[in-house]
Amino acid sequence: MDVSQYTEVFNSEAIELLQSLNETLLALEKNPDDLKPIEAVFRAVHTLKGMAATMNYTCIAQLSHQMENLLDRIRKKECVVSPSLTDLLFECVDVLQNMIERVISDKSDEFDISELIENLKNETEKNKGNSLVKTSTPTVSSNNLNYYKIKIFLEENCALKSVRVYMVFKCLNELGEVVKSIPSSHDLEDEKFNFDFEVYLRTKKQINEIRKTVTDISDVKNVEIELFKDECKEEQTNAVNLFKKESVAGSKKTQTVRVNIGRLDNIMNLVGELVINKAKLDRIAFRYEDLELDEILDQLKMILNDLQNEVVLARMVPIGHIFDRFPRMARDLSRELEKEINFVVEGKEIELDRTVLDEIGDPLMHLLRNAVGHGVEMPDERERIGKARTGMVILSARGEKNNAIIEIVDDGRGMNPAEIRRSAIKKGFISEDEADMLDEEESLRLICLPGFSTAKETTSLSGRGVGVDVVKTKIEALGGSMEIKSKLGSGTKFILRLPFSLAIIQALLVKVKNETYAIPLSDIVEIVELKDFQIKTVKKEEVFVLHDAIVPLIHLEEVFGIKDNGKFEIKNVHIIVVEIGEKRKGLVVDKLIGQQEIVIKPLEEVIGGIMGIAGAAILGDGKVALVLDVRSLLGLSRSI
Amino acid sequence: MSIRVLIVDDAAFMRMMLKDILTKAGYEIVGEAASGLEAVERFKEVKPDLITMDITMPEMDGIEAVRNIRKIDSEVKILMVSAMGQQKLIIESLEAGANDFIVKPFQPAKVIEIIEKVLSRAKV
Repeated sequence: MDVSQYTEVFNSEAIELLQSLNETLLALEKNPDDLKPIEAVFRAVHTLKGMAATMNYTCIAQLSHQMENLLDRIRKKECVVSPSLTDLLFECVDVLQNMIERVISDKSDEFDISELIENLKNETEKNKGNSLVKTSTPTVSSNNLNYYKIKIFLEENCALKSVRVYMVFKCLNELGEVVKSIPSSHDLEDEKFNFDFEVYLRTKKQINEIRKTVTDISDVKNVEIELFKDECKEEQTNAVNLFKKESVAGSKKTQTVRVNIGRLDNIMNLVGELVINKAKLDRIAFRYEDLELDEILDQLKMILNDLQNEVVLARMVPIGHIFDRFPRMARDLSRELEKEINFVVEGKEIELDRTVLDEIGDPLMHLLRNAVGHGVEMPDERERIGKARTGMVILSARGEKNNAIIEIVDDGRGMNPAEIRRSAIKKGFISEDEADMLDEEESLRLICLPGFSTAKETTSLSGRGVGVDVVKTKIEALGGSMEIKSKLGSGTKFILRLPFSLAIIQALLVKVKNETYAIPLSDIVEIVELKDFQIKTVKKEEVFVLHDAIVPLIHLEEVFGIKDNGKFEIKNVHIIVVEIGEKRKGLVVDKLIGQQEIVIKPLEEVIGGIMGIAGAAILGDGKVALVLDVRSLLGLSRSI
Repeated sequence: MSIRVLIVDDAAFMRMMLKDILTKAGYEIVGEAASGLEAVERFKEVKPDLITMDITMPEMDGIEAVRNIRKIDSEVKILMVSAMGQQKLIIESLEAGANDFIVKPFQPAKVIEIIEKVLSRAKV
């Protein structure tokens, strides 16, 4: 059978399975006596094995098969969950991950797993010895799962057939797993069958036992059981087909569909094009002054808005998708460093645009490694200074206006602004005079300078600071911002602000000389009109007074070097007051055009990276407007 | 030794009918109850091998009674007695710990067949 068409489903599902493996293994490690996690681990490994075998990924199938054997022993309480055992299982999961990544990139899962298999076997055998001493139950059944087709005939005078069916299912599910039934369980429930029905059971039990169980149920007249398939590749395929059929039959219940992210990107782009064309249409309609046309355009606008919202929502993914991999990382790292850390994740349900989400995984990883590696002290040290031995690291997400706020908080040693300043002077980043002018927050921000580190010792980790500049750059590239708060002795907090979604934004279009610029509406707080004499100069900087506060001015034509044709002097100027965080400036523009929805297109490498420009947008008249990057204009990013 | 049965039903008519069917088949009726609450009390007194339990009854329904009895005893066989169309309630009772069910109106042979099946399952 050609299985290539299932590759994509396999990949995404395998990744999900690995994720859940990591989570459940963590739960198992925390609570070795709890059977629930081990069942979940077992199920995930088992599913993966079946999938891999179907796809002919023999290495993955082999490894998961060995894991399954070991897990089965744990499940039967035949061996104890020791730290070395969980380590081994984690190692297996890592190797599985590597193999699956290889599958995704090279379409091959070849990998040297002989040593790991050997270890697994040893561990399984080791515990076999134990089990013989402890329990006398002989292991009758082979480890092989079989598929049985069971045909059940009910008595013809049977009342309430559906309840009998329920009892049959209940008993069979105690023996194994009912994979499928004919007619569907739904129809069986509605008694849409005569007196017989078929059930496919996946179980380790033997035919006799199944027969006994089923015939023991009242009103069961007869049972026919045949071995449907053994467990091997070809049959797995059939089993997969069974699932497929069932899912078609039960399609009414299907709530979600997997869509390639590329396809969503395309839809997003097309909607973007629609928005642009709609703007063009608006301009034309303006010329004709036709009421009917205007009405239709209004409706079109509403539909377009809805469509756009839907697409934006369709691209949203819960942040849990990336948060979920961190508990494992925190565990591994704290074990490696012999620290005790309670890692808490909050707000997993907050949703972000897929593109944003894909990009923040690494930055968050950096910050968390810093928190675990450098923030939280060693247990003994913590005890000495009167803190709990177990340190706390919290990763949380929440929504706030147009932004998602992600915080990484640790209750560790915190950062010392004075030390950071000294270090910055020593490394030649700033002069001593400059250092004296910095307040605490500005001092902390020094660690974002490339190549800065105050870590006294280097571990296998990057020192604190290395990587923070990369993080900051990345977050800013996504239109977000990063704030650092730290209190010496009691901890550090990184606050990341990120837009929920990119791409289409509301913007104010303005004219500076002959150029049109778009300013994201979310950055604007106020628009004021000034006579030129109201502009004052303080310390060689032009400012004006707004609500008793002094706001510095930025002349866009100076920033972008637009030539003044100098034909006439403008007496009245428009000031767009923009604000990010607590920083506020006034942008001087010549003319306001109006508010418009724009689609931000990134500038390609050749002309990208211009200070103050976030991208370009195509306007209704087909002209291109540059979209201002208010953050860099306010001097909040490194480039200014 | 014959099987000792407790019959629970709020209708005396039903109790009588069941009693006749069961006695003829050689079972010993050791008690009757007309509500769930009474059923639990009677159960504690007579410790029967089998209970026939009506579902809809005053004070405490049959399902609740099954739950209460199962808290005390996991061995006794409980047979739900139900009218047609009570699928959901029966399933709920089975989940609560009932072993099987019979449906009104009774066919005596069927009732006995099911009871025997339930009891034979127990022997294994």
